[in-house]
Parts: sequence; structure tokens; C-alpha cells
Amino acid sequence: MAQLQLRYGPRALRKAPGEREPVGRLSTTFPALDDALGGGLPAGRITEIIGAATSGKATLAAKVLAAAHVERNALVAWIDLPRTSDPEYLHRCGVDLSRLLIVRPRDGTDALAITLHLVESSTLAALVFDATARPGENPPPDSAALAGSLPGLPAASGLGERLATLVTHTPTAVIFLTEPGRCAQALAHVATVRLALRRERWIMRGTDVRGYEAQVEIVKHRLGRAGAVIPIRIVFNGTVRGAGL
Amino acid sequence: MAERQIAYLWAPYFGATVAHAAAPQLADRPLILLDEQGRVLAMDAAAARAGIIPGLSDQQAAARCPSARLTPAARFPLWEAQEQFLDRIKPFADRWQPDGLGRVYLDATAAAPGDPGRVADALVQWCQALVAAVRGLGWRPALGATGSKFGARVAGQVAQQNAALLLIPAAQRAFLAAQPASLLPLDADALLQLRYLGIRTLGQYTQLPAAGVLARFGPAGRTAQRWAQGLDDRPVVPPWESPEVSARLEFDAPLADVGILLAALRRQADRLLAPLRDRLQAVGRLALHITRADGRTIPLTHVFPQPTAAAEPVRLALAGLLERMTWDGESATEITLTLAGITDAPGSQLTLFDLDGADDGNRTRLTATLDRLAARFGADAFRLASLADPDNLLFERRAAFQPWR
Repeated sequence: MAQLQLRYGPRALRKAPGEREPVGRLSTTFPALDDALGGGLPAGRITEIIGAATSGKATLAAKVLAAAHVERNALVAWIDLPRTSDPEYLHRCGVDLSRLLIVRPRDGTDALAITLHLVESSTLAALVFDATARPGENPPPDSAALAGSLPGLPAASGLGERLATLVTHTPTAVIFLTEPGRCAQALAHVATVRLALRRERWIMRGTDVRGYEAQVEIVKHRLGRAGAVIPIRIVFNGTVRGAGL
Repeated sequence: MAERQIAYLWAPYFGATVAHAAAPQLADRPLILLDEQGRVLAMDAAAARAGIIPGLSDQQAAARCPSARLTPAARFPLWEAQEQFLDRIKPFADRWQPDGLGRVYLDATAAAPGDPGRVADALVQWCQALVAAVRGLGWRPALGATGSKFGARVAGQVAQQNAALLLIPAAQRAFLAAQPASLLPLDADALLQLRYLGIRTLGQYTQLPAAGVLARFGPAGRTAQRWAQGLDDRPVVPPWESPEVSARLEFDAPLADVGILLAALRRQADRLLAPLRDRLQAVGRLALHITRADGRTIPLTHVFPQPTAAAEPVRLALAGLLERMTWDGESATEITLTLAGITDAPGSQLTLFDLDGADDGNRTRLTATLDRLAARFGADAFRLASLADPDNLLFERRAAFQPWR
């Protein structure tokens, strides 16, 4: 070991962690999805929700924030990079607006730096980072920054790894919303859970849209089994109600 | 007349040591004791090495030291140990003042007569005897002594366990200047700001313009600056002489609505606490004297596990006292609120000073974080939304945004 450390550096070898602390969970409020995930999205970990526009990823994230209010009586945050968040819709999803911090940063680099600081403060039960593009905007918003480093950090330390390390020491569930084909590789690597959403069909009554059905595929799950595909149903019934099928 | 000498004696990891003695099985993991509000009251050496400090919330503590065992502090073993500790030091000084668990100031002026230019032999012997007496209880105390309370406390913190650091008062200022700024009795956010500003030592802090310190850190910051300059003339105040402040509420018509009474009492308590916080003082006891419409006066008292100047513990105590009140169908015509046992803010109770009196510890800390972030990224970036016109056809008109505060 001494020789290896001499050759490859003192941090090349590390002691394996002992007994792991159980990871807290935040319900998605979709029972079938919670079951497949082992209780919900993991707290103190990064989750990536991938989906095209109107696939239901923001609704799913909003339902997690609402569950955080109910289960933990906690503060939550929404990093609104594309500036498209709709507080009224979040309210209908059950999010308590008085306990929701909405952050509208100038650009992706600021957004990522703010995310690091907020996660480090350990004051939030959940933080949603909306990394989707603004309507009509072609290039993804600074997805390169996700894989790169932030000002003030050593050049070699990528944000993804830094955030992933930091978040495990906090109670915050960090949820990134991304679009297919625009996901940052670094994020895909460090995310503990990756969910891919696809809208299957609109639920209509006459000509009125009453909701939609979607499929959630668990693409990656470090704490459990991946590969399951869970159908969910989101109904706009005055309030937005979700139900596992 | 002999120059003033103050000694500061403390037993490191007092609370955790008491808990370990009561339950040896707790020794297998780092131990963190929580107070009634779920904040860190005490910790052992392993937890301290992981960055745990008194005043952190349980979630922050769990984040900093995931392997630690977090458990509520059992009050009575702690108080019993504290009583034994104080009984042991009482014979050494007429005037002594507790400064939290296992910490005490002593007026050592009588023990140090003679030449103020050197540490008197008598004072050295007095300190040795004091340390030996406390060691007899099984503690490994540290002791600091010099001409002021702040200087003695810093000297005590710097002294190793089972050791004493004695300074002649004239050397106090030079000694303090070299010590880390983290020893200032300011809240954690103020200490963090100092770090961001590159202020690492007490000497650097003393050189800041007084007006700037007042503007950025408030009266408490200015008070701490004067102490760091060696200008600390606070006397040692024994518990039986500790001052108190009170306020009387008279009601035009008898009141029985606990919600209204609580709101009125909280306002009065906040008003009484504000100047104490500015002077870096804390409250050890809270008393209510409620006069009912039938003329009977009911006294109610709450004793804090550690003196505090934070709004939240006081508010919770008020709510608890009103719940305990027996009304017998009567209403209140008059209430006297007394904050008693006023003393210096206990050592290391840093984050118990909340910044803006918010009713939620997490929100207070988040607001403090956002204040820093707003300076860097712009205040407009951080918003709170509310419903403005939920039925409007245009979604952007359904909600309104305002600053986080």
C-alpha cells in the first residue's frame, strides 16, 4: 500500500465506507413510482428528470416539493433558469408559495454557483434546478458549465462531482430537469437516480384537456433496481392531482 | 489598590462527558446533545473535530458529522454535574459567575495582591489549587487569567486541557491581537463574513473602523471590538446579583384568548431582548405573573438549559407557560413579564442569536445565506411568489413576485 501511495499519491487508496446511513426519501406522491424507487426520490442525492416539454417533469418535481412541505415542514427552492416557472401552477400542485424560494439567475454559471451555496446551507429539503432551454432557444443553457468548473473552484474540480460530494452531507434532494439530447454528461454520471418521462396521451373530455398519462422510466438507480417503467396519470382537476396507474 | 484579575475556568466537553458517564454505551460513536429546540447544546471531542459547534441545528449537525449519535440532552444529570462543579469552585472566590455548562468566571483580584507588572506568586498558587480542586471531580479543566473577562476567556480557550495561562493585564492587548477572530462572541454568520473579508485575527478586527463595524455588525459587533481591544470592564456578577428586566401589560378588558396574550407577550419579549443582544448578554430565566380578573396572581417560571438571547426559545417558553396556566374560567387583567438571570452570553453559544427574529431557524439561516448571495448575484435573483390574480387568463398575471425578505 505504501508503494502504491508513493507512486499514485496518498489519496489513491481509500478505506471503504463502513455501515452506510439509510438514505431519506421524499415521496413523488405517485405510489407506484415511490414503490419502484424504494420510497421516493433520495434526499441528500442528485436526481435527474429527463423529458421533452409537457412530458410532466416539472409537475413531478412540483409534487416532490409539495411532499417535502407535508412530510418535513420544510423550505424548498426552484432554480428557474429558463424563467418559465408558473407559481400559480406550483400552488395548484400543492407547493406552499410562502416556503418556496424562486431563484432567477442571470445565466447557468450563476445558477450553478447559487445551487452550491444553497445546498451547502443545509436549509432546504429539496431544490429543483430547471435546466431546460427557454422557449425558442436552441442551445442548452450552459450545459457545458455543468461539466466544467466554477469560478473560485480549482480548475480540476468539476461541478458535478463537487455538488455530488456536497449534497451527500446535507438533507437536500437536488432535482435537475433536463431535456433529451441536452443532458450534461457530468450530470448523468453523478446523478443517483435518472428518470426519463414520456407523455403517452392527453386525457380529454370533449374538447377539453383534463390531464395526461405519462410513462416514467427509471434509467439509473444507484440505490435500487433500474429499468422499471411506471405509468402515471396527471389530472388537472381544479388542483393538479397525480395518481399511479 | 490591587489591579483587577479575572479568571476563566472551563471543563472541555462538559455535557458530553456527563452523558457518557450516565450511559457508557453512547461512547461508540461521536455524541451530539440537542437542546429543546433541536439545536446542538454540547458535543464530544470526536464531534467537535468534525466541525460541530453549539447552536447548529440537528440537520446541520447530521450533515457535518453523519456518523454521530444525536440525542436530546437529559437535563437533570447535567444540572447535577453543574452544581457539583460550581460547589467545588465557590470556596475560591467571593464573586463567581457561571458562563454556561462547565464554565465559570471568578474574580481573582483578592488572590493577586502586589506588583501589577508581574504575575503574583499568590495568583499562580491560587490557580493551581483551583485547577486541582476541579480535577478532583474528574474533569481536566483549562484556566485563563488576566485583567478582563474577555481576555480571561480567550486565554482559557487557548490554554490546553489541564493547563493554565496567566497574563499580566498590561500584556493582554498584545496577546489578544494574535488570537483567531473565531473567538469573538459573534454569531456564526458574522464570523463567516469576517472570514470572507479576510479578517483572521482579533488584532485585524480591532483595526477596522468603529463606524464600519457598527454599520456591518451592529452594536454587538462594536461591543465585541471594544472587548478585543482590551476595553472590557464588565464585572463578575454572581447569580444572586444578576439583573433582570420586566414589562407590564395591562388590559382594558379582561382577556382569556391565549393567542392574543401570546402575541402581546412575544412583542414585549422581543422589545426586551433587543438591547440584551446588543450588549452580548443572555437570559437565564423567564417569569410571568398573571393577575386574573378574580384578583389572584399566578406566578409561572421557565428556566433555560443555557442562557439565551435568541427570540425563538423565549417565544417557545412563553407559549409553554401560557399552556400551563390554569384559568378556572377567569381572564387576565394584567401580566408582568420578567427576563431574569441576565448574564453574559454563554461561551460558544454563537448561533443562538438569530439575526432578524424570524420564527423559523431554517428560514433565518436561509435568509442570511441569501443576503450574502444577493451581494454577489443581485437581490433580484431571489424571489418569493404569491398569488395575485389566480383566475386571470394570462398566466404571468396570476402570480406576483417580491423580494425574499
